Amino acid sequence: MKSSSDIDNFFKQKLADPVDVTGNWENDWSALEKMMDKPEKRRGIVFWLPLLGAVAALFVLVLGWWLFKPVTEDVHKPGKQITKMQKPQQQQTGGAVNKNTITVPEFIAVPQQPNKTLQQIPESRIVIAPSPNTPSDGIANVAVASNNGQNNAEKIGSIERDNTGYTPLITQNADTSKTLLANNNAEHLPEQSNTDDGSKGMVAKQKNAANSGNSFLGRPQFALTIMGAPDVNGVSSFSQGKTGTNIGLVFSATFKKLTVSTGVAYSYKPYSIDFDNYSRSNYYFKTDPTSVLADCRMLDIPLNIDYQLFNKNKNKISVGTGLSSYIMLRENYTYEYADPYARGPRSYGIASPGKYFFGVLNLQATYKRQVNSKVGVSLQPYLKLPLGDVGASKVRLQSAGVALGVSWNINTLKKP
Amino acid sequence: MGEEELQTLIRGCVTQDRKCQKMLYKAFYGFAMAICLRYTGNRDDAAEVMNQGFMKVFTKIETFDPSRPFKAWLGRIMMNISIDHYRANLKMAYAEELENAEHLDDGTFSDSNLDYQDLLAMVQQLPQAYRTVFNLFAIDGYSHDEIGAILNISVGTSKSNLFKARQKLKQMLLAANARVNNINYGSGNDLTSVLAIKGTTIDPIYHSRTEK
Repeated sequence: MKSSSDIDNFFKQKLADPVDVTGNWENDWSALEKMMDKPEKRRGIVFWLPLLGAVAALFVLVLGWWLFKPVTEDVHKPGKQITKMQKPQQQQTGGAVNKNTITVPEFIAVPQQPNKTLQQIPESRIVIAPSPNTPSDGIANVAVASNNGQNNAEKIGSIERDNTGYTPLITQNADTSKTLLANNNAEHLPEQSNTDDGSKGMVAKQKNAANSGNSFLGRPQFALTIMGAPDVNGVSSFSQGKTGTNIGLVFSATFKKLTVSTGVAYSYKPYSIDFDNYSRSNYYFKTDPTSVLADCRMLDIPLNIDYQLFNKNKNKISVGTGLSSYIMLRENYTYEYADPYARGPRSYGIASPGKYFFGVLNLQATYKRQVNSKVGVSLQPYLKLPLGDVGASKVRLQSAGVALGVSWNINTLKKP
Repeated sequence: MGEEELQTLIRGCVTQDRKCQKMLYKAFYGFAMAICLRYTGNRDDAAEVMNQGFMKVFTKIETFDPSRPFKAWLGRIMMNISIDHYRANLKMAYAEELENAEHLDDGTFSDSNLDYQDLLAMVQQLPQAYRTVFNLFAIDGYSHDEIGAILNISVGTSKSNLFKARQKLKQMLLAANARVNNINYGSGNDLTSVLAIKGTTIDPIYHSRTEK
């Protein structure tokens, strides 16, 4: 017998004709009867946690929508004010304008009154100055001051500033007709100010209105964050929690007070569970282990939205929620028996770990301190609550931890 | 067992009739056990795996198509449950490494004295990963592609495991052949090999009878 197929055929023929192996069938049947009579143990499930998390997520989403619902604008009637949040205009003297109104200056809207144009205000200066109580929603007042020493600045309108928090300043000399703009949304103002043609004025106005419309979300601020997070992982509770680690890269886009973020994190999540909470799938243990120690490695892909609650100086505090997907890379389970000599598997490695999309609810609060215009550091306590079973053991794995991050602003904020 | 009797038992099992389940178990115990013995390392494990297979049979029997042969369905379940057992013990799959198997002589041997128990013991002596691939390929007729999909291994790994399994089996067969030749040399003894099915070693016990 030399060839491989000879060996195969030899064993196939011999093993196809088994001798009588039914000698112990009654003993084995008794064991099977015990298995069949054993009721399946029910896993303890904490129902309220996912429910509470879902309600919290819904609340945050509704709150975000309500606070940032679109602006209603009327751009077709020259000279009419563009109303934000549909509140009535309240004009004030001394250059102050209600922060919720945008008054279109007459030199833009009504070309029939050319004496109101900036060109006809010699050596004028356009100054956008913050109102005494700095508006929180990004509205700055615009005033035109003449160089001849007049103190009563003529109000020409207001311009919405961007989300940078910097106070915009516009300065124009009639001689040079150059305008310095710190505010992104005021970039079209020179066109407006130098316009004495009606059609151009209308175009400029429409551009301005369009900018006002885009400012619903504002110019997004993109950032990359490298984060690392120790956390505690447990099933149903943290009473048997095990410490894991996470390291990842997060990309975020900030629109005013809303931040949408996603990324990927490599997570090591060990946890320990009683055997009662362990799903054995099709495998039946001859001797039940007392506990199971799981070693899970996975990719955590979050999709979160955060709302900024506080922003002062360089400090920001936000709260957020979102969903995470787990891409399992490795799942190993180690079984612990009360009797060290008990028969049964000692460990179980999942050959093809699964993927669990949007199966985890994220709740987090973030404190961020901007070190400079590019770099910031953040501290983020978080809670990950299961919306479904995860892993081959079908457990409701939850995690709590604190993520430390260093972020880098991709598009640096413009300074005034 | 006649086909009609089998269908009666199956219908009884669908209604979870314990008596029918027991009769079905007894009727196919040998067949199922033979499969599980091939895939596991010893009789205890085989019995455990087989019972898990029967558990599945009894809980899923309503999905059985009566127009198809029951034995094939049962055999497939036993094989699948054996594969599950293999996965559960994956860490031990390569516990026994092949020793000195790379350069075996292509010697010949007489297989006339080797019976089912001998060969079963040899297969059971294989490391689990080799044994599983050998069973699937050589006995159950699966291709390497299919084995790769079943065991979640590459085709190359499947071929490698099969090669190593064959080498080790050949080594065992040659060793058994050498023992026969040494003992028989010049003595004219008639050999009968006895191997315990539960044996954990491949060393056979030979009882020789000297004819005077």
